Amino acid sequence: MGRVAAQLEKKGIPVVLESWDWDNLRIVAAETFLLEGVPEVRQVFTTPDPFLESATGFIPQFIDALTRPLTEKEKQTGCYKPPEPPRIAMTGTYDEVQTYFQGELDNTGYTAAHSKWTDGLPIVPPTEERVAEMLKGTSHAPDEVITPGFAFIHAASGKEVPGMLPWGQVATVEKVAVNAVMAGCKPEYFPVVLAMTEAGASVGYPGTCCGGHLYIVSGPISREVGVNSGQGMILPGNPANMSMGRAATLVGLNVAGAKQGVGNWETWGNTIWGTTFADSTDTPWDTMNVAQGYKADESVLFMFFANRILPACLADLGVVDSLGGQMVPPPESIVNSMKQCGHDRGAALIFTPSGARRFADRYGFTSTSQLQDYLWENVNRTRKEWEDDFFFYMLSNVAKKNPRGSRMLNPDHLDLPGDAMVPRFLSPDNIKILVAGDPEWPSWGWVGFMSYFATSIDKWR
Amino acid sequence: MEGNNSSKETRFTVLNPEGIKPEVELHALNPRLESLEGKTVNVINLHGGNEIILESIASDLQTAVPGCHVVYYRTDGGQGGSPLTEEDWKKMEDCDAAIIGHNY
Repeated sequence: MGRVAAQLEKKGIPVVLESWDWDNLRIVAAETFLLEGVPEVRQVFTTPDPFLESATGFIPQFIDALTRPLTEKEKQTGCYKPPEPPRIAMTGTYDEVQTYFQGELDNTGYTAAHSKWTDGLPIVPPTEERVAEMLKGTSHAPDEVITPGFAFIHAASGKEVPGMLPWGQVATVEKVAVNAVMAGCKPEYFPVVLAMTEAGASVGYPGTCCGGHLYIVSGPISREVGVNSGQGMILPGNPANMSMGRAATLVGLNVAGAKQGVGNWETWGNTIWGTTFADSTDTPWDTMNVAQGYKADESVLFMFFANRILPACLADLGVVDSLGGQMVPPPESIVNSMKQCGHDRGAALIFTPSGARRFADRYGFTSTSQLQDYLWENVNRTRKEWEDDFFFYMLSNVAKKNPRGSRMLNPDHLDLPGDAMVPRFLSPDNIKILVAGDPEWPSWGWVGFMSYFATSIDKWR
Repeated sequence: MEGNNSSKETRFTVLNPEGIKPEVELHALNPRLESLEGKTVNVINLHGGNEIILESIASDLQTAVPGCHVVYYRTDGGQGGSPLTEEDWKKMEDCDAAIIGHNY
């Protein structure tokens, strides 16, 4: 928050930002102002009450903030160079290292304190030797800067934020290696962790968006290093799944600086935060890398900024005719389930291998694109229902920029009468199809996502 | 003594996991207005969803300073992958000062 206010100041307009009087928001705003180079943006803090109906009592403060002459501090210019963290953190025993990495536990906003540099669990001490070993997992130089390809679109300029979200902090290959060691990764996992860093590697974002990163590893590397795509693929137990996801979490906390209560202000948090698994090659359709335009022998990381996985959704009893039909319901039932999608812009439909085969055979879906098209056309709401939905208001701003007549939500849809059906998702490509889970048990589920990013893992080898 | 086992006697020299904060070019705030009389103040409801309090700010400010031209409006962009457009910026800049409402 506050980014637009700071940018409008840089365009020559005296600005006052109205904001809630919350400690977390003050911290986030201060960091944002500094990131934009306007650290002294004036604010008026209103009562943190979502049902506040009058601002009358705050008007004198707004007038004062618009007219009070600037202080010397507010006139400050020049270059702010933050102190660079020392390369060596400390020397100590195993227990001393654990205590140091927990740091001075912070209890801002919490009923119990949180760790400073860990996810709350003990870490593997990132010694020079272990980090050097980790760096053998890539051909890239330790000082190479990783430019994240994924970021929330910069609210004010439309450009992606340089550096990592939320504070533009710089990630080098070595910094990521330090965190990968801490997480317990093996060197052969490291290209995946670097791709996760490119994908943003964050456990959450300032706000109440309740989303986290879900990672799908697709392609040969998943078999090479043993990423689980089978039974219980999102459960603890597999070293690759668990340590890769943990490494991404630690990169988010430490390299990106998305710390709880500061760079990561999540009301509840989310059940997805670095969840990692592979897609299965046991599929009647293209694997995810191929379906998304990559070669079959290319390893690719897919990241969904998602808020929940809904496994084994119940089928509509009115449209199923057998137990098998409940496990792998007809397309109409999947459509009805996916209509429950909240404010997601897309969804990934996940079948188990057996479920995918049965669904493809029984209902004649011979390709993922065919199923994408079907869901795009049938997962919908009336235009009137959409009009009453705040998130459609947000989505409609994107739709306005899409060309009429396109296979995307576009102005044609916005012009439809109130009882006309309008697609739920932005485009067929915002519906992803993948196969994973128990090979023998027919089942399915879906996960809604707000953002999506794909990148080659092989380039990080 | 350096080492990689977890013995309590072994000492570890460990590397810092933190990312590097970027350098920032600092900008001064723009000079404030001597008075709001005769000036145009935009009250901008950034990305919507916060109408009641922002409309109150606009109307109460207008009442408090009748000689000020208070313009209230809601932007269409600014959140959720819908960036502000050049037109949005032009409209926001078309004033002597601005109050941006975000609420949270």
